[in-house]
Amino acid sequence: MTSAAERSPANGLQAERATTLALRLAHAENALRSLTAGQVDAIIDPDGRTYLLRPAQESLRQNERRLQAMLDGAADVITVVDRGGRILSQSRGVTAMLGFEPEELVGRSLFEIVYEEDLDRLYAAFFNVIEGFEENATVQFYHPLRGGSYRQLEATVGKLRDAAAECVVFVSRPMQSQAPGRLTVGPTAESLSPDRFLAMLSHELRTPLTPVVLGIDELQQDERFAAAAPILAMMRRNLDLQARLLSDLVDFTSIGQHKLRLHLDTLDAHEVVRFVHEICRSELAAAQVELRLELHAATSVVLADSLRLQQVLWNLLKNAIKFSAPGTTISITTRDGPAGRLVIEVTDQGIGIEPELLPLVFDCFQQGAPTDQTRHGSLGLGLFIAKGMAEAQGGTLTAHSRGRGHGATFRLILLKSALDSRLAPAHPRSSVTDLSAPANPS
Amino acid sequence: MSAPDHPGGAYVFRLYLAGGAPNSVRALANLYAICRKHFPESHRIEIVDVLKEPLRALAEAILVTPTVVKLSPAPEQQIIGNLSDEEEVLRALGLPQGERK
Repeated sequence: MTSAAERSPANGLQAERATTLALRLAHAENALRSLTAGQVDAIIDPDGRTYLLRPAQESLRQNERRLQAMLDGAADVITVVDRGGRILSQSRGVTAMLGFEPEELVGRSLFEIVYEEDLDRLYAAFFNVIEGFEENATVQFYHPLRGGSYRQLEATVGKLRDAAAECVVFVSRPMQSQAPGRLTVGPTAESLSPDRFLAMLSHELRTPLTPVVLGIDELQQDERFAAAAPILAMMRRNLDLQARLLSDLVDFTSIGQHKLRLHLDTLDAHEVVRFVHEICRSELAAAQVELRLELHAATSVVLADSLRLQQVLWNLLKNAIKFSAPGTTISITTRDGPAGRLVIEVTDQGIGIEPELLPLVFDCFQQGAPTDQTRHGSLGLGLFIAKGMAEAQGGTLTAHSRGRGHGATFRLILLKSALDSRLAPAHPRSSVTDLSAPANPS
Repeated sequence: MSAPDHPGGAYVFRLYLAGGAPNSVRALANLYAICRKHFPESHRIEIVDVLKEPLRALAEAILVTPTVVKLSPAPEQQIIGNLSDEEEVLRALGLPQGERK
């Protein structure tokens, strides 16, 4: 009843609470100390869930964090993968180098990410290191960029010894240069960065070819070497191929840098088509493919760079030949398009293009299945260059196909010169949006 | 078998551990060693595996493992960790440090 009577048990209660509280605090303190000392192996949360933290793992995690901080500061990209190639950790530098956030790569298999033609090489290095056949290995491979193209990296591969499980560490940096002998270009534009370097390199590589070509010409005309004629012819063919690949590379770089120099002129597109037919005759014959010209356009005078237009048509024709089976026909048709445009279509009865691949055909180094690449022996730059050049001349180039096995049509639309007025070169980089034209124009 | 060697009866401990986790195993071993050394005749160790009985740990306000609670003699006292520091364990649990067999 009286307040005094009540106060004392209340005080007692309070004192008891204070003791409990102090005790709990002491326990918490104790828990914290044990935790930091690595002497705790499970935590129970207020819902009764138990979280196991093995001290070994905990200290490993601490080490890992420390290591990660160190690695993130490094200029090289450091990737730790497990025995199966799964990425366990990825340093922050990967964002600057490849555009990916580390989180996007962790958990994925390195072997599923890298450019597939480099897989054997990469796996060999990985295998040798993890099996202990080699202490370290160095391997070059193409790693995708976030935007979809690739970048060539060089990685030092080593084993992590003192971790609980065996891991392999890749320390990767971008390739700064390529030995001329290794110019078997795999993927894309940015991979060969800086573009400028590539332009210089391809120029430098082409220059020494000229005297060799001249020398072979000389030998071919010299009767004393008649017996060697087939060999000389073979050398000549390969040199020509090499020269073409290199000039492809130069063009490719120019397009990439928007530095294609054009000499726009009024010219007859039909003449260019006939000329391209002429220079491809032997190739058509070798492939046993017939070319039919159906030049129906009433007027065919366009505003273009004659050499570049030649190159566009030549690339399209060569591409058609490349994917045509013997006995089939390629046709080049022209017609008058709307609004003073000339439509040129190169149609083949070849292997065709799957709808989902249509948007990709103009990407550099894109060439059907990778296995086709060796068979067709080129860099896969032809269509990329053709599109870049068509666009630089104010035209468009689109691809159409009803699917695998149904052949393909490449439609080049140029401005007739009646429209005249000097056109500023359009943005020459290939883009997917240009290809949004109906894929099945049936 | 033999009589308790202290007046208040047996020393009773309850060890909360997490299965075979390293610190838990170590704590168990250390606790047994301490008991054998200091109270060879009169100790009992109860084991609560929080992986099997998490709610029991919760009910008894155990936050982490390993935790050992001295239930008897009163007052109830506890210490967390793998019990590798014997002096510290005895001090924290309010046990007579000089007591030897």
